[in-house]
Amino acid sequence: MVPRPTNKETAKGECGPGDDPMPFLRPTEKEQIAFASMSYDGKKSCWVPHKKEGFVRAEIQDSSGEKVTVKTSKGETLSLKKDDIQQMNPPKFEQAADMANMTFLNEASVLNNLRTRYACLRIYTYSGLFCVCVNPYKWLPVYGVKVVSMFRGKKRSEMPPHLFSVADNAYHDMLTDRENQSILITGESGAGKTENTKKVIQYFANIAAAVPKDGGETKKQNLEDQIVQTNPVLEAWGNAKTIRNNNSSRFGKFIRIHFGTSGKLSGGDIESYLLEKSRVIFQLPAERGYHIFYQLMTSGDQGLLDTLQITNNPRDYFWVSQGVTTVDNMDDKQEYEFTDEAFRVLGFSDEEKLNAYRLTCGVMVFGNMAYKQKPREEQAEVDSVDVSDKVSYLFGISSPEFCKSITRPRVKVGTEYVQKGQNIAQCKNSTGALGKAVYDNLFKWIVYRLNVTLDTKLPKNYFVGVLDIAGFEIFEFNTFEQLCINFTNEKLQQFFNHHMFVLEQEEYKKEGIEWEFIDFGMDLQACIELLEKPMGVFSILEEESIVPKATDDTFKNKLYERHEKKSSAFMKPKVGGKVKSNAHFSVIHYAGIVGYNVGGWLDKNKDPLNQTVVGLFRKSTNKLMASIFPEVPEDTGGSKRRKGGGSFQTVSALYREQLNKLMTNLRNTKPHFVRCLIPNEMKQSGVMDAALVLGQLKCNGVLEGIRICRKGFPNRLQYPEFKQRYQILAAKQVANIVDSKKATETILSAIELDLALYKIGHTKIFFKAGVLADLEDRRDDILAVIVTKMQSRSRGKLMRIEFQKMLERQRAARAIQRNIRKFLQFRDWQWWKLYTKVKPLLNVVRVEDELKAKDEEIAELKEKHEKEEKLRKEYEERCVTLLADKNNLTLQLQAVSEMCPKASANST
Amino acid sequence: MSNFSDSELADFKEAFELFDRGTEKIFFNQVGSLIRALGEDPTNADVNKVLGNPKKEELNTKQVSFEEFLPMLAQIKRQAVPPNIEDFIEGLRVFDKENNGTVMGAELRHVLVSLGEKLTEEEVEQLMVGQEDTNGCVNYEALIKMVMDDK
Repeated sequence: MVPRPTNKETAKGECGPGDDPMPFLRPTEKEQIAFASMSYDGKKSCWVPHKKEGFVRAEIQDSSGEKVTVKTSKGETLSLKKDDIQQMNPPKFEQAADMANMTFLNEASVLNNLRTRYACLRIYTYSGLFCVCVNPYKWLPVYGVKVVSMFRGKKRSEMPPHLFSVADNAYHDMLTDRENQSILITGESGAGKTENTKKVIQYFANIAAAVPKDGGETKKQNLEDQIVQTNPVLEAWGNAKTIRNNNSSRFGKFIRIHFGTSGKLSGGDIESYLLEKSRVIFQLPAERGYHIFYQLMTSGDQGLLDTLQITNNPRDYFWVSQGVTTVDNMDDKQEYEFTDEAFRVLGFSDEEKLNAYRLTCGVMVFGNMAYKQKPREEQAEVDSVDVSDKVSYLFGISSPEFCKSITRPRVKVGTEYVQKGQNIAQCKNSTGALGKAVYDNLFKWIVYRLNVTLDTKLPKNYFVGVLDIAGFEIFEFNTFEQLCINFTNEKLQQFFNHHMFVLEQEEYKKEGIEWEFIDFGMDLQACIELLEKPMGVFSILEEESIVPKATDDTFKNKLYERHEKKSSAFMKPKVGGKVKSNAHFSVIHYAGIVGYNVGGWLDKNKDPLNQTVVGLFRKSTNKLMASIFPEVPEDTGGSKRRKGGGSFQTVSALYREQLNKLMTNLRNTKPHFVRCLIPNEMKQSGVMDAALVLGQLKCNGVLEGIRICRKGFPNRLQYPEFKQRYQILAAKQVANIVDSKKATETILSAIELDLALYKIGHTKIFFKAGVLADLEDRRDDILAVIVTKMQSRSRGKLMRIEFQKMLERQRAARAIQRNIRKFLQFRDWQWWKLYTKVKPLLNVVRVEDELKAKDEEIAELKEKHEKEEKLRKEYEERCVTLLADKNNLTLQLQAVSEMCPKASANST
Repeated sequence: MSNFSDSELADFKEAFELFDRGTEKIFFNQVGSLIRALGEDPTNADVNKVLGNPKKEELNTKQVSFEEFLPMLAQIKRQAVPPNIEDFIEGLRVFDKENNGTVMGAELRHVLVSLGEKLTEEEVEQLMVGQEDTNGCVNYEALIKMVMDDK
């Protein structure tokens, strides 16, 4: 694993080389010994309700009568109803990693478990199938490369609870089940969703970093860095300080991380939901506008400020200074540098970046536009030409035209355009709407541009989606935005319930398993129908938005007419009721009853813009401005035209469309749930507000989740799948069984698994919580033996390849050494010196070869010579004998011829 | 002394010297590599055992001489069980979901780095060079044959 460069994101919570994350993840041995020695009596120890702490430990003194007498750990003696007392778990479950394992599952035990863990800053705890995370309000060293590698490839049961384990399991499931995954991170504002989202993404970036191409392609940014670096940019434009949270995401997002066939990163995309536009022009006293404004002003780069025509003082700009202008522990200058760096990593061109800055500042300056009334006229005119000039400069449009378009927009009447005079209030309204629209479109463009960078051309096989979206909101004053957010949460909760409870029980029935249907009392259908069905709240709103003479009042009356006393989730506030007097109607959400005020909803939903100004924007010389207000074909919608698609779409319709797309996306994934909890509202680390946490546990279904998880059979497998995966547990017994159901039963009886722990369905085998994990362990043990052999063989093989290289290197080195040594011996020898001098003159290139050739030649010649010598000797010898013979013969001849004259004389 | 022939001893010595960095000794953490270089396939546990189960920090500090190394090698050689190709194939068949002789490269990598005596990512990377087809599938018989082939 290559350590990623330290940047804004990875530095937070990074576990350094000397740090140990474990104390923040699970109790130390010492602590466990201390837990074991805690006093506990199964019959007497209990929890009793306590006003401030939720529940306190108590001991039963007397339980003989109707009421029970207990003595609390605070020294009080109380008399309580039996139902008010909750049983206490044995000490071995103190700070349990998975609350589903506890013997007694009740609110008191769950709260105690989370609270005692949180007091030690152990923020992650499992609760059945999901992971609960409490905001620590400070960075704990439980993230970073070191911790990533500790969790890599580990099963949930092997490691203490951690977000990384959820992420790793999702990754593992994706690879083994070949199925898309999603991680749903939900919770109230300030519960830590966004930080957890970032850590999940860093985890994937770390474990699945794409293999770098050969050669030094270091200059090109790698995908994993880019995915991580989308955050500083998104946060600069989409996050702001709120009362609860210094870095609150004011938009929702669904980030999909794509993986290729080898399980490596192959791309990403981001979908954003409903940016809080009102914040661009308005903030509450303790809050602040979007970070980017303050980052740019405090950048300390005078050249940049000059280019952007702005000062370094937020107080100079009304739209960004209605609340605070600094945030504790946030250095805007440094944040600016992070944003700028992120832009670089993400491959934004200087022009794109500067244009984005220009539009951002243009919006900010635009807030200072002043108007004055013309004498004796309703007509307003611009009273701050300097402001208009600056804004026009930044927006890339003509200032006089800009002023004219705001104060006298051209409006279509019938088939002709006429100029329509505006009064001060209308101009101001129009200014706010335009400012918000430019900012919102800019934000959408940024997301679009990030997606361009993250869209590699690599093949995408599967994805893990990470959803980070605002939790349920119940304020004093709830309006359209709250309804949208709460509706989203209602849908997500329904998805969760559906996944966990309904599908679960339907499956048991389908599979013919004995099971008593449990009503988890979490049916959200009534509320969802009230909101989304035809003639539901949203449809009525959308309908009213296109009716010419409709007002907020006609909308409200239609709601009453349609739903009062007809929908169980709808309530009309009582006349004269003293609480929530500002509410016009209430919706019974799963998380509570919320009263909504319908003031301004039609306008918010129509979101009208001064189209004459929009026309100017379209023709802007600032390329970015022109592109975020694209040309739309003229249609009958008149002034209500909207970008993207010709026809008019209201804000709520667009939002519902996005939400439906998200839900479709989620339904095609295997979900993993992370529940973030806000421990207290004072941002205090280690302190848990019992009532606040209990409320969240009830709302987010944590308690119900554990209940069904324990009662039910949360793990199930198809028989062929089970056989394929676990036959190794009883390889001999099932060797010849073809029928997978029969094989499954054989395996389970071979390993003597308790009958209560599983159920045999028609097509699937079902297991109680924890059983499959145990089987998986056994399987791993067996596999480990085989895998170890393979690994040993592989190690050996790799080592021998390496050794071969070492040997070759050694031999090469020796040859060099030999030559050097010879050279060292020779170099001072006069003859050698002479030789080296003469050598170039001699045309001798390969002496050795020549010598060898000569040697061979000599040997050859020698041999030849010997042969010939031998032959010569032979011939000589023969010559001698022949000569002797010849002499003999001559002698004989002489003797004969001596006798011859006598003979011839005789004859003659 | 172990019963190695002179020519074997000469080979071992040559190999030993390759690992030795001038001290006539090699570190504990090199012993496994040397044994593997000499053709054996011990598990890490086997290696640890012949080293006398040293502590982690001792691996980088303690050393053995050639004479001390020989009995270790001998012990590993004595224990060596010839690997069985069929076992390996059987083991990987568990991951062959389609029963077509292939497994997902990603899953195989995951198994090799997370189960048993975990290989490092780099080791797996070397091992898998050229083994994955365009769909990321690995023909595991071919992979095993490659690993078993000792030329």
